[in-house]
This record gives sequence, C-alpha cells and structure tokens, in this order.
Amino acid sequence: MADEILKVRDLKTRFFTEEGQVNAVEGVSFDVRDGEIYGIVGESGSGKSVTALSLIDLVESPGRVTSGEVWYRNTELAEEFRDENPEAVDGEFVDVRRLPKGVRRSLRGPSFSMIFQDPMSSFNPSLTVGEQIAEAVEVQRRARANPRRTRSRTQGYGLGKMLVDSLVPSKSYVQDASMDRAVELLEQVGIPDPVDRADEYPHQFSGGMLQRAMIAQALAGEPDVLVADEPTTALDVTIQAQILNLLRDLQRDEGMSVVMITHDLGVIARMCDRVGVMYAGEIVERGTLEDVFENPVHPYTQGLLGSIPDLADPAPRLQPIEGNVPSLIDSEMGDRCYFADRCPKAMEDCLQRIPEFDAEKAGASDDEHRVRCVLAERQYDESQALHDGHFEEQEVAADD
Amino acid sequence: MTSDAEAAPDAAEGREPVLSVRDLKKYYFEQDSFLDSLLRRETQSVKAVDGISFDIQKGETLGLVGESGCGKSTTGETLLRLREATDGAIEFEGDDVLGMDRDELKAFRRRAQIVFQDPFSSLDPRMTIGDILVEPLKIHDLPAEVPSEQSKGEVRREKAKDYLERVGLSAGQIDRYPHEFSGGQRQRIGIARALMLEPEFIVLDEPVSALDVSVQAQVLNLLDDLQDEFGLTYLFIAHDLSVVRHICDRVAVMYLGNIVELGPTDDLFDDPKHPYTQALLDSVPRAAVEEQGRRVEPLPGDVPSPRNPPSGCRFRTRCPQVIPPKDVEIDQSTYREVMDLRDRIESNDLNLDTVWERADDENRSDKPAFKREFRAEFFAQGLSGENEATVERALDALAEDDHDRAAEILRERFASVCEQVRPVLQSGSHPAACHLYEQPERTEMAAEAPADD
Ligand code: SF4
Ligand code: SF4
Repeated sequence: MADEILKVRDLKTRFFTEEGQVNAVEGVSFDVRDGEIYGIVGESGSGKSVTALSLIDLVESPGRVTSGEVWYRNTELAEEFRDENPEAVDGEFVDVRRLPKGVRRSLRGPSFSMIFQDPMSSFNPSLTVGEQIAEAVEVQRRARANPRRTRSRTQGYGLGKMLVDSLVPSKSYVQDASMDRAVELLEQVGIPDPVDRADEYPHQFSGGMLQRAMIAQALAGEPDVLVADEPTTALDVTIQAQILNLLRDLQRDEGMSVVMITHDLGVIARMCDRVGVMYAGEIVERGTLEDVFENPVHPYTQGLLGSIPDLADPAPRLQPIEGNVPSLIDSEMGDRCYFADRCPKAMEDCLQRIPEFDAEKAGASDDEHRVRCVLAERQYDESQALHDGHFEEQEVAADD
Repeated sequence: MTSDAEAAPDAAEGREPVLSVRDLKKYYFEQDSFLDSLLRRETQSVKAVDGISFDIQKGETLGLVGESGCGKSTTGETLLRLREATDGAIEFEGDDVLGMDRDELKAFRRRAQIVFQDPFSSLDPRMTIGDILVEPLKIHDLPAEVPSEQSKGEVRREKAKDYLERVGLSAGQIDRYPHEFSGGQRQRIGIARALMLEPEFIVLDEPVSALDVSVQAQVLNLLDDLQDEFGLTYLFIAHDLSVVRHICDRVAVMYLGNIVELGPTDDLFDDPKHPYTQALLDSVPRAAVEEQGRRVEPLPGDVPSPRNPPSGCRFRTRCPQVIPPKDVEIDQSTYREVMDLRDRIESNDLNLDTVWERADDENRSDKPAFKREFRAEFFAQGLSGENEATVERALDALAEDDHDRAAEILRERFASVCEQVRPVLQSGSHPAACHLYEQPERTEMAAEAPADD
C-alpha cells in the first residue's frame, strides 16, 4: 500500500466577521497517499474550499486557521527541523503549520500547488500566459536555491493587485530558459502551438485552454500534492472530460497526489480512489469510493445520493434533503449533530453531543469506512425518531 | 394541493402544439468594440440561433440542452420576445407572436412567462416578497373585478399568500425581503412570481443550475407538482443532462445555433443518433461506482465561434465521424486528421515558423525535414496511396508558404458532404441533423462555399 504524503489532523479554520465567528472548517482529518486522487465532496457552505485553502496556507483575513496539524512527508525538511523545532517533526513528516512562515510559503509550488475554478482570477491580464508560467518556473528555481525567500507577482493574484498592475504595466523579466520551460509545460497540458500561445494574453484563451494553462502553471514547481478546487465546474461537459483526462494523465505521469474538491459526485466517481463527504465544516463520512457510494451510512450522504438524477436511470421522483444548509456561526451551531434539523432519522441522542468518528487518533490508519453519526454503531430504530416539527417548535420557542 | 386547480391534460393526448417555431434566427450585430477598431477587425454578425424549428405540445416539458454559447437561452428569450428575432415564425396557440403589436404582446406575456437561473438577480432587493409577487398583477391591472367588500390590493395580497404556500413557502413570509431567503427559497419565489398571472406556458431558463444538489431536487419536484396542478407547458433550458433526463418528456439538443437532434427523452438518451449528442452523453460523469476510472474519448478542441460558423454541418470541425467522399478509401481517424489539417490551413491558424524551427532549418530549404515535422504533428499513422500523394502535394505547397494552394489540393480530394450540405432534421419523432442518416431530397442543393477566409 502506498504511503501517506499528507496527514491532516483536526484542522479548524474560522472567519471572524461582524456577524460573529464562522466555523468554516470544524476539525477536519484525512490522509492523502502517494499517487492517489483523494476526493472531498460537499455543497456550498460545507467548508470544502476553505479546507483547500487551509491546506496550503492561503486563508485570508478575516479568516485564520486556528488549530490542527498538516503533516507532510518530506525527509529534507524533517532533518532540517528535527533539532531546531522537534515539535514540528515526526519521523519523516513535518507539521507544515509549525514551520516558519517563510519556509511554509516556499512550499507553495514545489510541494503544494493549487488550481481553482476560475482561471481568469489567477492570471494577471496584463502579462502574457507564457511570461506568467515562466515566472512560476523562476520562482520555483529561486525557492530551491533559497527556500526562505520567495516572492511572485502571480501567486495569490487578487483584485487589488490586478488594479495596480493595470495602472502600472509590468515589464517582462523572465529568462529565456524559463520561457522555454513554460512552452514545454504548455505542450504537456495539451495546448496546440504552445510557442505562439505562450505569447498570448489570458483573454485570448478559451475557458478550457486557460484551465490547461493554469494547470501548467501549477505544475511548474513539480508539486507533490496538487489541490484542485472545483477545477471543471465552470466548464462545459465535453471540455470537462478533456480536463479530467488531462489531470488523470498528469497525476499518473508525474506521480503526484491530487486532492480533488468538488460538489459534483460524478466527477468524484470518475476520478477518486477515496472520498470524504463534507457537511457544515466537518467530514461526516469517508472511505473508499465503494464504501461511500454503495453503502453510505450517514443520512446526509444518503440524501445527497438520493437528490441527484441519474443519467442512466431516471427515477420517477427525487428524494431531496429537506431544509437548507445550516448557519456556521459559532454561537448558533450548538453541541449536537449539525445535520440534525434536516435529518429524517434524527433522535434524541443526536442532540446530546456532536458525533465523533469512532476511535480516531492521529497517525491511526485511515483505511476504514468511517461515519460521524450515532447510526455508525447501531441500527436505526424508528420508534426513537423525534416527532415531526420538533425543530420548528424549538424555533418558535426561541423567537418568543 | 388545492382541488379547484385545473386538471392537467395528458401530455400524450395533447396533440395540438401550444407553441410552434419555424426557422427561427437570432443574429447579433455587435457594435465595433475598441479592440475591433484597434485590430481593424471587421465586425460580423453573431449567429446565436441559426434557423431552428420545433413544436411544444400542450402539457409537455420540452428540454433544450447544449453547452454554453449554443443559443439555448437566446432561443428562450426570443420566443417570448424579450429579444427581437432576426427571422422566422413563432406561433402561440395559433397567434403569430412576431407580428404582435404592443397590446397583443402584453396579453401574450400574461400567458407565457419565464423563470431565470439566478433568482437573486431577478428579484429587486428593496421590494418585499409581497410587492414582488403582486407587481405583475399591477402591471396587467388584474384582477379585472373584485368582490365589493375587498379592495384590489387585498385580493392581490391574498393571491400572493396563496401562491407562496403553493410553492412551499409560508404565507407569513410575505413581508420579508429577498436577502432573508436561501437560494432555493428565492427560486421558489421566482417561480411563484411567474405563476401569479396564471400562464399556460413557462420558459425555465436553467432554473436549478445555481442551486446545490439537495435543494435542486426540491425545486425539480416542485416544478413537477406545479405542472400537474396547473396543467403547465414547459420549455426547460439546461446544460445538465441528468436533470434534463429526469424532468423532460422530449429533448432538443443544440450545437452552435442549430438543433442537431430532437426526440422523446428515453429514445434520445438510450439511442442517441447525432455524433454530438453521443459525445455529450458520453462526457457526463455519473455518480456511480462504475464510473471510476472511466476514460472518455473527449471531443477535440473548442466550439468554433458563432461569428464564423463552419459551413455545412456546424459540428464537422470536431466530429469524429465526419464522412469521407465515397470514392476515397481512408480510415476514419486518419480522415479526421486530414480534416483537422485542412481546417487549420483554411482558418489561417497554422504557424509554419515553429515547424521550420523544429526542422532546424533557418533558410527554409530542407523541405523533407519540414514535411516530416508536419506529419509527426498531424498524423498518428502513415497514409498510403493516393491519400498520401495528395497530402504530400499539400505539404509541398505549404513548404512554399502557399496556404491557398495547400488548402485547395486537400479540398479537391477530401471535401466532405458534411461541409457542403447543411444537414436538416428529418420528419418523424426522433430526427437527427446529420448525413449519417437519410436526409430529405432537396430540389436545390443548398451547397455552401467552404469557409476559407
Ligand atoms: S447523528 Fe443523528 S441527526 Fe446526525 S446524521 Fe446521524 S442520525 Fe441524523
Ligand atoms: S453531418 Fe457529418 S460532420 Fe455533421 S455530425 Fe453528421 S457525420 Fe458528423
């Protein structure tokens, strides 16, 4: 069995907003192995994208990763920090969150890389695509030479910077060798005429082509782990098929691991070996694709699968999950199963505490099918169900 | 459910079309943009919808599917005259929609409504839900008469409350504002608003695309129920094929402004005829264990620009089954490669410099090396016989930088019926606009010049 490259433990990310503290990621744990595609699936507000950003330290104010560990297997770093910071080292693994900020940042590219739903937002409109990829190549070179100091004009490209850049046109300063590498990368991701396309600007690319270019940029540092956040959501289905093939080929050829984050259960099914289902900031069920798709235990997973129409087998009527995604504001979350007010099987026990994965500790094998639900350990018994309208009555009581 | 609702007519029995569309066209003539003038580009019309015909029967749901830019949303909006058609005919219950004057149009809009994808953007944030629902009644000055003990305002508000309940919200929410509702609830409000005028026909333009799957399922079930309750006819526009399969009775597939296939939902999904429909269905990832590791043979490239669509069959630049001339023997994938090469030459999208560069020849004299590079790029397998000789001559022309002659040489031998004659939908219940299926005889062959500019 392949070794873990990444072990995420009890990760928590919070946003401190005017409305209160939002618990976007609420104690997420999972492992990613060498050369696998690990899927994280959830609806909007489930915390899946914030989980992605948290992994590679891109959460921006007012958000912050408040606790948890991200163990990353890297013998060099482990050696380097074993004496200096023993807390941050465990065998071959380092806890990325305990490394100095400069080092942490230098991991973006050669260790972790990310692609997003909207490639337009991660490219600078005033530079050619080739220049930007070449620049990523140079950043990686510099990072290797001096891991503690890196800067880039393209990483974490945001609206503010876009404004500055459009007012102050940037000058190209990439070396020829980097440009050659950029062209190579464009070719590798299947862009025809890469030499010509490298000289074009992002707006001259179609959506699918720009997505390929973003993937090329992400590959510049030959990352160990590629985090793909809804990489095909904005694309048409035939273009999506191209990009999914590409990601699978690259993953295999480069031996990378991929964390695939999406709302689309079909994409998960095609691409992933193992999967975690997120709801309200937690992974509520995880296991192999078969565990989760064929034998789902958590009522949310069951509901999700029952909600989607199947292309091959049109069910006469869908079985939706009633209600809406809950508030993640800390003060409103309460110490109960977060799914309880939508769960058709909710019982008194579900309201007593937040269900945990059973017998979980850091470092334990992550192989089993696990479920955060009181039903993980017992059969559902209808006689224990809360009566209809239980939560509405509570709401009314609270309003008064 | 209320008992006084109209009984839904059986879709199978309802034979007379509610809506009938013939050869509808919608072109946009874009203003010169700054960039256009900078690049001295000629502005051309964008052929968003380019001659489509279909009927919608009473009580049925017709799906209109396709990828972005295929013209499906433009079709929906043009049907209701939210955009003016460029050409064609639309009949609604026998009335000529395109010829209606203002008053007739107003009356038509009472009977034909639309629900958009983004419920938030189509709701005014400063209006209460009650105001939003009552507004269409005010515009149409409805109801015409009210019981003497009630004012018009009261009657309208009662009706708004009633419809809120019918779409699964509570009457008590009538004085709230849109931002207080979730996406799914807002879409319910959008649907209630469309229902207030008691229309017969509703265009649903991607009504569930912005919603999470768990909520999407609620709204799909609601649409189903409302159709039964009010005897509604739907045009359901969507890109999600699974949703379409679930909710539609018949489906029309669009590509680049044309309908390429039309048929009863099960027939079309179980036995897709048109190569584009086949590719589209094959691309969809299914949420099932069998999907794991499935490798799709994806369509190459992107959809061509509707400014300058391909001649003949719009799909021919990507079609894996594009038809070789009868007298040319060539295997299908090689023929596709020849056609790709030709397309690239004809669309001026071929940079010979890079090929020369790879041939490592600065004075451009080593033609054999140049041709080798070319072959390596375009052809997975070798050609033979007359095919080989023709390609060889075309590459010779390219080596001399004569693109036009290269294109002509290839065209002469390899011209496909797919580029010469635009295929049309046959009559019958499951037609496909493709030359792989029998095409109706034409008196004048509508031969189109190949796009070589
Ligand atoms: S813990 Fe209870 S409420 Fe939560 S998902 Fe399980 S059965 Fe439902
Ligand atoms: S007409 Fe020709 S190019 Fe068009 S879909 Fe049919 S086979 Fe393909």
